[in-house]
Amino acid sequence: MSLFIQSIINGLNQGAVYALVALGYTMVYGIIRMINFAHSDFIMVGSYTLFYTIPLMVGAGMPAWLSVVVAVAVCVAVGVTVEAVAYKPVRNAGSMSALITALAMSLFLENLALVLFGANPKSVPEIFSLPTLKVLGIILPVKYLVTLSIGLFMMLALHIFVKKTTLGKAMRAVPEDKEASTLVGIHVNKIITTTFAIGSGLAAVAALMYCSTYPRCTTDMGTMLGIKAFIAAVLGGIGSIPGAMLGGILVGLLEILIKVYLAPGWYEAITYSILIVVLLVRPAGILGKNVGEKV
Amino acid sequence: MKKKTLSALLALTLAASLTGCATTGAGAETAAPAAEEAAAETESAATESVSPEGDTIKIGVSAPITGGLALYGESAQNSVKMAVDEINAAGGVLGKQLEIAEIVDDKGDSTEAVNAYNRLMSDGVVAVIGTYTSSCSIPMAERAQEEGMLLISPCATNAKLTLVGPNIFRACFIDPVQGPMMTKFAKEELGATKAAVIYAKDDDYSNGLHESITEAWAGYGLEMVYEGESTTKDVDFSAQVSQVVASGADVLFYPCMLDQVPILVQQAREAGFEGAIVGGDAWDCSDTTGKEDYFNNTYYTNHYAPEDPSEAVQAYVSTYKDTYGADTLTAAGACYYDSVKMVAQAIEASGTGATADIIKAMTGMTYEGVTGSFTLDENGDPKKPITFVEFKDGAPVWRSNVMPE
Repeated sequence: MSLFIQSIINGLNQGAVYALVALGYTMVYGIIRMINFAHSDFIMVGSYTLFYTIPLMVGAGMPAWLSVVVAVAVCVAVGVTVEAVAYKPVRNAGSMSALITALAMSLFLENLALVLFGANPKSVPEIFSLPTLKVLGIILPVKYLVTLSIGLFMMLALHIFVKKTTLGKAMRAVPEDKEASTLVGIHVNKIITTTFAIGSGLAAVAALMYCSTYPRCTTDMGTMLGIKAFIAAVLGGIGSIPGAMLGGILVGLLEILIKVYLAPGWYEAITYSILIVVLLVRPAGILGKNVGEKV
Repeated sequence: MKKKTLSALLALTLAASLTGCATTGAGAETAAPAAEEAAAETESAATESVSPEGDTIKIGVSAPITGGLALYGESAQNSVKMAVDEINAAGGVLGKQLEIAEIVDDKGDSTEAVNAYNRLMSDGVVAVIGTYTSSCSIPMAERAQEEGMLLISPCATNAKLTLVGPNIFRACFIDPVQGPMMTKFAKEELGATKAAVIYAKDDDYSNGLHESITEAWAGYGLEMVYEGESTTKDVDFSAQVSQVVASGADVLFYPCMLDQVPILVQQAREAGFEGAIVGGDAWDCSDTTGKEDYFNNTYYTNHYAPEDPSEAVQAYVSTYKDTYGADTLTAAGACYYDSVKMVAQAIEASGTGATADIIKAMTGMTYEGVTGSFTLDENGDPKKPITFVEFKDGAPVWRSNVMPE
């Protein structure tokens, strides 16, 4: 029984990391209907930033997690630049061009990182020195709670931001009809840039949480993480902010439970089969709205 | 007309790119020889490998220069250069200079390994030293055996490697020896009774070592309480380590590669596992920064220990440190160093420098080097001592060298 509860805790933690990444995918997709495959590489950029800035922060006598501020700044800069340089020119060239550009950006960032940071995996210093709770043989590191609550907080904040604020309303208007949005005075380019800035900032936060649990960065760390978070976003309903959270938690939980109770070597295959089944029943994902879309 | 120009242009580009491939290896050649020249060179490569002409003898080296094992690759590069420089300073082999055609990068990836092997073949080498991982060395060995090439792997410990054929050798001990030794060590030195293992099922090295550990368990009176799978891409081991804790194991074997070791050790300790964690030779130089406490009570087997006072070891270690610094001093490097020297010794003994003769000379050869003194057995495997190392406050500390029974 304690193994089961322990697995739920581990699954929630892993799920919260996936969810934070999935939020970034869903955010960008929800506003400009584009899957930003380079998002997971923004997390790589964030992680390397953390790796290099944490020793400086600690040296300056500040808590290590404060380097997330630097990471957010770097990620936003990278995200906005990528959007301006690579995505903007192909924005009206169709979704396929945008998709291929995003994949190309992802490869470009990975290879650039390889040149800049070298191929050696880097060990990220400890970010939170928080205690570990032990109750009835169950281990609960407090940082797991931090990860989960940051995930929930981010989701709620984004949800409220998109639903309630003027900027959020403008963000929702853009994908409905770009021309009409321009007519009512919405600066479409500015909205898209803002979206990318928020998405990339989220990547930096995700990087912080990822590195606190799995303290290692490699130039290709984004690849598997990106695929899993993307699947989480699709499972929850891509474009839906609570959906990303739900999808992330579900994928994380499923993976751990399958590893413990079913077939550890097959956890990815089984998780993705479940995804296929869910999508067959609910093509728009669990919380996604089924709207007809021009392809 | 336009189409014709285009196809001519494409053909030219293709020819240019082929030239590029062929010349990057040769290095010394001028930047842009004509395409035919490159083609001729590739053709002559086959004959060259049988009986070398000219005043150098070329050997090829493959190592994981980029990727998760880049540290070993860098160390291998340095050690190979060091060995070749020493051999040439002492007069070379058969009166000729020994030349490294190229140190190709296999990235620790089995597909890349075959590409790396092909690159070396186009350089006209008489022998191949490669490569670090078993997963990469085995496909290379299969090609080498088919083509009559000599291959010596410095560090691939999977038993299957040298069973590929008589052209295949290695400079390190094998997993069916390493695994039982690790088990014996856990039982006799650490006093373990209940053992758990986590291995990567997509890695030949890990599978081989896992098999030999689990086969030896019963013989040493260890009770097997948990066997967990993972992959070389995993970063989350929380499911496996929570089961290790639940199983009540007092020793955990983790026969996997160094890039994952710190994550596993940290997660195991965070999950409340306090027993010993024992790894294989791929644990060498694991990054313990910031995890010094977690790494206490962890042990691994290795090919040699830099602290070993023997003359050969100290000569290698001090020259290496003086030339390249201590950061990249690894056992993998020592094995590459020994491999180059073994090949050089076999070339000298062959009398001709032709691949077939070098293979004959290497079969059953006796060699004295950094990672031990040994004679190759009928499979091409050395019987040599295994080094046990313990992490103390994040630093590897030599425990003992044990000769397998």
